[in-house]
Amino acid sequence: MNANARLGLLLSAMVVVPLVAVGFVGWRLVGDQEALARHSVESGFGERLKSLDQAVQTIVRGYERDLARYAAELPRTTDPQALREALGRQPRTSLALVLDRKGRLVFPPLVAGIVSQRELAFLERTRPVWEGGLLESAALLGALDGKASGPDRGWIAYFFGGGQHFLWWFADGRRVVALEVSGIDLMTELVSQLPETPVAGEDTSDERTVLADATGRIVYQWGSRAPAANERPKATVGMSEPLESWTLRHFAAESTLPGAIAGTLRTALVAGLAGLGLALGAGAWLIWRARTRESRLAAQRVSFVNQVSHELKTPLTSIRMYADLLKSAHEDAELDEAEPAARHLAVITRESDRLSRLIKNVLTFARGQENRLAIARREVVADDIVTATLATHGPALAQARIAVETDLAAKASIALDPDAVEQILSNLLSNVEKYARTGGWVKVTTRVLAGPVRLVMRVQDRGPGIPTAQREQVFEPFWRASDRLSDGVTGTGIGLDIARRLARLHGGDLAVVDSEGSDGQAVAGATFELVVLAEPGPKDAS
Amino acid sequence: MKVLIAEDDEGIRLGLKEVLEGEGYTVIEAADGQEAVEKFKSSDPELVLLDIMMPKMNGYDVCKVLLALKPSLPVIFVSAKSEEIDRVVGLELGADDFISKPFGVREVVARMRAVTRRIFKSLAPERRDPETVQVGHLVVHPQELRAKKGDELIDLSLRDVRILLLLQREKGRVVSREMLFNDCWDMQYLPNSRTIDQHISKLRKRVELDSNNPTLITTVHGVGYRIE
Repeated sequence: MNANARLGLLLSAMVVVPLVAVGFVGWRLVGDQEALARHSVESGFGERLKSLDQAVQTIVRGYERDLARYAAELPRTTDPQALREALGRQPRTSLALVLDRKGRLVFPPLVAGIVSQRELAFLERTRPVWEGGLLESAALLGALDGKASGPDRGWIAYFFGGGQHFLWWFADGRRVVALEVSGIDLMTELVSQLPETPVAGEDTSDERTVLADATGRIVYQWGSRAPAANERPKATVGMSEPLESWTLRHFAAESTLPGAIAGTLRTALVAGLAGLGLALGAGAWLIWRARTRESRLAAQRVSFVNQVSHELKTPLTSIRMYADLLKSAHEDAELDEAEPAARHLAVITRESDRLSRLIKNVLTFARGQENRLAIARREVVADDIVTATLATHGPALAQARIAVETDLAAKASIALDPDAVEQILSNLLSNVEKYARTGGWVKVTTRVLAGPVRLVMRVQDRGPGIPTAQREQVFEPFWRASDRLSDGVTGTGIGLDIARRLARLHGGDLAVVDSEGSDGQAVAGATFELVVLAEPGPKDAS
Repeated sequence: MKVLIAEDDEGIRLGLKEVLEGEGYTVIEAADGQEAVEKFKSSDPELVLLDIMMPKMNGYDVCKVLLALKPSLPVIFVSAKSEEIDRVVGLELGADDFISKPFGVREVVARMRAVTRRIFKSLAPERRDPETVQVGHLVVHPQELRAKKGDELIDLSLRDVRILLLLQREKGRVVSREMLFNDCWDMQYLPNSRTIDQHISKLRKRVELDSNNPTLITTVHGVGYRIE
């Protein structure tokens, strides 16, 4: 993946990742808000149903007051007739059970001929109550004993003949009176007294509130909405005693409020995301434009230098060739090397060689920048390359008064790119000439080692050396030591970068190593070690 | 040996001409691709030096045309295009070598000698020079363009070999400068006698045991040279 593609991917991620993250979180928040609003609306329905239950309770309490009065007014006698007459005067009930303080049934009389058919039927349907169920009630026993502080009145609901019936009982310490209240009567009473709307003044046209009895039968309903058969109520509330098996249910269309809230929030979120996307996109685009412009300018600069370097080759060829021819003519004429003309020619030759190396370095660097650097191996004797390169640099080193020492033992023919090795050594020697002049000495050592077969070449000088901290920095392109070492020294700062790249293309490396004297002791100066693998390695571009 | 130089830059072309003539080659010049094809057809050179970027027809196309006419023709590309791909394309087309600009005389001479050795080896046996010729203390290998002085291996130019072979052929007899010129210079005009003397002088420096007291090639004053 090239640099532009990487940048594009990075910038896309810069835009997409925050958008997705903010979008996800925002969407979740909107969803939560919607759920909250929905819950709030449904809670409102629940509250409404509870208030209806309260209204029912109020009616029931009124009913209870009437029943308590009846119970109080019921003669304290066991005379069935007197009791029947008393009961017959009450509008809300006509049948009752009277139990003595020991829980024994005293009315209706369980005596044939005295008990009426209606009373018998009543006794039959309340048998579980008076025959044991009622007496088993701890609260009631307590109430009869007058010892417990439990309730002295309450409701008992029971089913009989397909309908629900209620007994309201009252214990006064001496007897228990349980008055039967017909479910239908109670229902009728409720219906007659319940409000016409669940909440006064509220439009319930699209709602329905249902009061259902224990069997699910609708007792009463408010609102004109017709819920679907399987529609889930928005709120359900169980009724209080004595109607605890009854329920209040509220049906309503999906509230538009939570949706509206969510819709508004979503619109705001989308607008915010769009704004964020635009801002991020604009930022990414600006970065992209700046980077691509920078790359384009850099590419143009490299291309320009490349082109110029190329154009320089032809005149330089003529200069080098004619300088060589002139030198040859001087040799033919046996001209003394100290003659001004010979010295001038030597300068031309030396400088044109330098220019050739510079052009080669610039072109190699440009190829490296464009990832087009490659090597071409062929079988060569490394020492031949070293000898030829030293010969080329000989005049310049001699002029810099740098003595050359060699220890060459790379005579085996191995597969290398001779041009690359020459360029590496040439750059190293050129650096010695520029930076290690004070040492006045350079030594080139070569060896061919086995396993894997490789050329190891060391170029050692006695110059000021390279501080350990800068041993890697020197290989960075355009890096120049900012001290007196490089003051006034010309150069492009690309030589070592190129040299290392070429070494690495061979599967080897170029590094600064510790300088050692012949006795193995550390000495002053710099030593570069080149390792070049003879076998094509994975890094080989050729 | 005739060499065609196809190069549009006059300075380089004339410089190469001088270098190659100094080596003993006969040089035919062409300033563009089209002229190179025409000169090739008219003069049948044995080796071609081709620039790649030339007017009218580029070096690659010229190479294709020439190799179609003479498949065994040795071709050396001389170019400022020095990218590996240019080199590969040139060699894929059938070129024998690739010299990148800027180059020095020594590099051109070394490459030319290497290709010339290959040409000699590819010649039919009857057209080949003998493999070794003993010239005094010197063992000359004409096909190799080399001689051995004891253990020392000496690179020779085409002209050096021809001079040594001529002198050896005329061993004991004086070889006049005119004879040397006619046999070894292949030129239309006579270079001044100093040119021949200088060449012999340079040759002596390499082949004599003591160049200050030459014993192999002796000077016969006023006439020419001789091998005893």
